[in-house]
Formats: sequence, C-alpha cells, structure tokens
Amino acid sequence: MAVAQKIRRFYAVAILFLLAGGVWALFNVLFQFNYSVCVVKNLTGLPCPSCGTTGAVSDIVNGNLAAALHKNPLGYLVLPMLIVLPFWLLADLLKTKNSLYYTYYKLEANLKKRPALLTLLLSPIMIIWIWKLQTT
Amino acid sequence: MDAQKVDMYLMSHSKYFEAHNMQFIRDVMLNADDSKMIMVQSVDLKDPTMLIIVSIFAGQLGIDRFLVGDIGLGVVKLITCGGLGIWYIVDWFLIMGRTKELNHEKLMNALS
Repeated sequence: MAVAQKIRRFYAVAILFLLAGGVWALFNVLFQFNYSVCVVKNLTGLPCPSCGTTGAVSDIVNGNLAAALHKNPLGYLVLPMLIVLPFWLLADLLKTKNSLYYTYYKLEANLKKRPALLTLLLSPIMIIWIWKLQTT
Repeated sequence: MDAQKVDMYLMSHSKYFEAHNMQFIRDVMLNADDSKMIMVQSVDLKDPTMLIIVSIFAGQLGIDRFLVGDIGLGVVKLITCGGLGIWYIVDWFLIMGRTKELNHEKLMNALS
C-alpha cells in the first residue's frame, strides 16, 4: 500500500476510534451507565484486563479518585489519552502535519524490534488482570 | 523460477494469500531466481483460519492483532476490551484479510 494511503487510513481510523471512545466516555459520565460490554465477561463471568475502565474514567471525572483506582487503574491512562489525543489529532489536521502518525509508527517499530520492551509495557496490564481475576 | 515448482507452491499455499493476488504472485515468482526458492520456503506464513479462531477466543485481549504484527492496534484493543466489544466482532471479519495481506508482504520481502 502506498504511504500516503497508509497515512490517510491511519487518520481515518484514529478519528473513528477517538470519536467512539469520546462519545462512549461522555455517555457514561453523563448518564452513569453500568452495563458491561465485555462479551467474554457476560458469557464466562471472567473479566478482561480493562474491565471497569469506563467506570473508572467516570469516577475520576466525578472526583472519586480512590474508587477509580480500585475499579481499574487503566482509567488513569485512558482518560489523559482521551483528552490529549483529540487535540493532537486536531493540531495535525490543522497544520497538515503527520506527527501523530509518525509517533505511532516509531513507537510500534521500536516495540516490534525489542519484544522485551513490549513485555515490560504489557506486564502492568497482566498484573491488573491477575488482580481482577482474584477479586471476583 | 521453474514453472512447475512455482505452481506446486501456489497450489499448496493458496489459502495463505488473497485470491486476486495469486496471478501477481505467480508472475513475480516466475521472474525470480531459482535460488530464491529456499527463501520462499522458509517464509513464516500465518494461517488465516487459525487467526479467525484466535480472534473469536482471544480477540478481546487483542491477541489476534498481536499475531498479525499490529502491535499498536493490539495494545489499544487490549486496553479497550476489544473496542467495547464492537471492534472484537468487527475484527472477526477483518482479520482474515489482514492475515493474507501480511503473508503477501512477507512473501514479497523474501522475493526481493
């Protein structure tokens, strides 16, 4: 695939994801949803590592910082990203630069080159998952 | 490369590639040197059927994406519980095409 096409596809997907994520987060914060979208959780009762992230985000926004940590620490990762990334994306689109694309691909290339780094990145998520599995 | 060898390879490996790319692959292989055959045989191709099974059972953890080399997407899929369950289902349909695309890239790299 040509690079220009790759870049466009990246931005289309990024916009789609951030819009969907933003709308979902907003919806949850405003309407205090508590429904689980985990198909696997609803079928087997086992939570995935990010179960409760939406609730955590909602808790942070409402000021319950401790409750958010308890629901899912990943909320502290997801919320800043949900806030920063749309602005970064907008800046890229307005300045017609591709900084988000290049950062993403450089990060991905580095992670691919060094699987040790990837394991380091994924281990907190796995620890969260093990903790979750033990507290259900 | 020897046409018979090329055709045998293509017949036994047809499931790994997109049908509409087969003619192109055949042409590239026929024009390639005989010595490349060993490289071609040693390319690690991912089975699309296996990937769709992985997608169904471990898709919400993003494992299917990790296996096709989309590390970034895999991490995002993991953090969002399979994109709130929606991406998890969408990927059932996308993963086969993506696997075949990956196999195609790997083969082209081996042939050049």
